[in-house]
Amino acid sequence: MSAAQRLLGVIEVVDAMVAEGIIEKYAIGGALAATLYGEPIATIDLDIFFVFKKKQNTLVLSLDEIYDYARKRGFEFDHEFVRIDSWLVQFVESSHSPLWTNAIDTARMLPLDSHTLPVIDPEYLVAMWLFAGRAKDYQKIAIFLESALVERNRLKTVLEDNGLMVKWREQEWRFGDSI
Amino acid sequence: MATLSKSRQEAVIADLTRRKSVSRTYLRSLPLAQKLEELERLQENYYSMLELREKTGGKPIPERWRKWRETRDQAASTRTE
Repeated sequence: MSAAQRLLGVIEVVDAMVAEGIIEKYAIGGALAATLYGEPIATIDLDIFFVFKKKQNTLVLSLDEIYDYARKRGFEFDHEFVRIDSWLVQFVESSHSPLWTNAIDTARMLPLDSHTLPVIDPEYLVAMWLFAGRAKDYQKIAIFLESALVERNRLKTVLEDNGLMVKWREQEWRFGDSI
Repeated sequence: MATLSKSRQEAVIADLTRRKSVSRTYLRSLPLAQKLEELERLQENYYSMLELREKTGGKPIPERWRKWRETRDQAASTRTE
């Protein structure tokens, strides 16, 4: 089995969650998305940003629907990850953040074998890393800028639309580049 | 310990920078399926490095990476059953 088939095995499970009305929409983010656009970045997990089909009315967000589904399908899980084949999958509920829901809505469909994967686009990845603001996130931004993986005007629009321009200006010295 | 002259140091750094750039350009140009193979190779290499560090008295392997190893091994053994 190839690495592509292993990833597609995970996507098949997430697509089944969509088909069963658990998840409304989703997209791949994080270091795996960075790998797909650019170069491999060591990561242990696969981040799935998603929105539940049924809106939750509780103060504390619960991922029980995801875990129940995983349990029924025989996948192991703990508080952070669901183990699907050889991947540790982290489900990140995104409805509370306009930045994340916009990122899902504008995801690109990347072809892999005979399938397509929804992957958060490079400009939104950069905006999300900027928002998260950890050292490893800033490193990924620097790599994306250096590798010309972002369309600068679009990045500027994404940052402005999501109220991140001030933070960008504060942090851009780290990237050795400007927009 | 022998030290390099400043000009020699600069030449070594320039060569490393060039090689890094060639390698990164190559990785970026790969089709997605191959990038995923390279990612898995990178994960294996990274884990080996963490393992070696632990064995030689350095920091222990982070819990998250242990989980990753366990998941990979479990999936591989399920496939061969």
